[in-house]
Amino acid sequence: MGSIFRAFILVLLIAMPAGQARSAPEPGAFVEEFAGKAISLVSDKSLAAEERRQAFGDLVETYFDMPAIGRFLLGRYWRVASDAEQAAYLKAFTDNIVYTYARRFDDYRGQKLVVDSSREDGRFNVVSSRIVDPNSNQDYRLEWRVIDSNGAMKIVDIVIEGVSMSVTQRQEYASVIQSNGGKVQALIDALTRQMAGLKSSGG
Amino acid sequence: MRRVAIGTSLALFMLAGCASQGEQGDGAVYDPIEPANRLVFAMNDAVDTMVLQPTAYVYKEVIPAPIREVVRNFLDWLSSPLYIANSALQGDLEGLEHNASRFVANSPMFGLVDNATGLGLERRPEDFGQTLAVWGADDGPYLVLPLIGPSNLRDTTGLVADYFMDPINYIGGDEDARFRYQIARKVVGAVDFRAQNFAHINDLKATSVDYYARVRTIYKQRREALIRNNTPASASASGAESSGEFEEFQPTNAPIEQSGKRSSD
Repeated sequence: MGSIFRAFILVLLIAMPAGQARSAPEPGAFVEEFAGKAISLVSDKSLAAEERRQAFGDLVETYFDMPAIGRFLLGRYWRVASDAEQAAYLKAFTDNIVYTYARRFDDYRGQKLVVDSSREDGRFNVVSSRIVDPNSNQDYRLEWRVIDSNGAMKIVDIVIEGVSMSVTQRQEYASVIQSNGGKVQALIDALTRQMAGLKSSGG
Repeated sequence: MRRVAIGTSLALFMLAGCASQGEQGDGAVYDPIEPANRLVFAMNDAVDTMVLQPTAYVYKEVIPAPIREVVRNFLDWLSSPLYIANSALQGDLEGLEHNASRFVANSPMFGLVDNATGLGLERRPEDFGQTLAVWGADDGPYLVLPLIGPSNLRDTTGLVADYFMDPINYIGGDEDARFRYQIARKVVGAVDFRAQNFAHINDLKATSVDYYARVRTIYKQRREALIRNNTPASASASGAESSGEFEEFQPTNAPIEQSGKRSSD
């Protein structure tokens, strides 16, 4: 999603000291658990870039409701898309998210994620946290939108300094589809092209 | 001077009021002149690539981080009168006290050292665009301004009002010198901002499928957060507002008949 955020996220992912994981299904703890695992993944220098990306992808699939996020990002175009387009889009979208986040892992500089509080917001829980950077006195505010659906907790959005990554991505995708006559295939092509570009430039 | 500033701003405020049409629902940005905006955006992007980015790179590599921090502190301190005035105009007593205290804490060193943040008084920028929002003005149409970047009618109005509200405009007699000073301040601010967010902005560009649309929605969301002073949306808006677009979010394992209906819009 948004890259500014992406960077921060990585950071966060990176940020929690491992071992905070608790089994209690409390949203704050759930976020801490994800961040802890992500940080230990990023800090693990023994993994090759490809292995690390793979492991990060698995982690994201576990903690985020990726198919639902993908549907949400497409908005009203989801139902316009054919089954084949839906499947191709979900794959391109998920690959894209994982790839673009994972490429910033090397930027990790020991930042920590501190969970402050959690509040209910309709069907969701919103977990407030901060990224604390040891090299700067400026914290970043970060909120996680978490949903508990039939006993399975999942993260559905991250909001960095007031900017929601899901909303940002959603508006961007809508713009691509609109400027291509409402064709979802145009978005799939754009995502695929963009990934190929990043890979060839060594990003 | 205050009277002049308020008169100007009121006129502009009414202008903003006339033109504001609200948004097209679902969080989309109202952008009636998108083709023109895209053109200016592309030109700004070219200036960024050719001028701003290289300058910011050199600045970042040549000037040590503590000096850049001093520059940032000083620029922020120069804007203190605007922060204070706009907090007052918004009727935000807590913000007024916050920004006045910051000014007092940082003035002994002419704003070069930001003591206030260490005292728990973080930066809290206010501008007349935010003031107009607090007074009830809508964003109005999205505008991309040459060299200045993303804005909207309300915030452009605010920029003009802030310019006239700035006490620096009423000090000394040399108008040219004042103008040069204002330009220099903006240019240094832009270079510093670009340097501070160097990798992030490059990444924002590299990973987007529609850079223009991405920046457009980020601008809107960021401004909304600043207007709310970073408090959660639910605190200021009505309860239903806070989930916003997420009202239609359907988790994967939700009952199927619902997910089909609810996501239509």
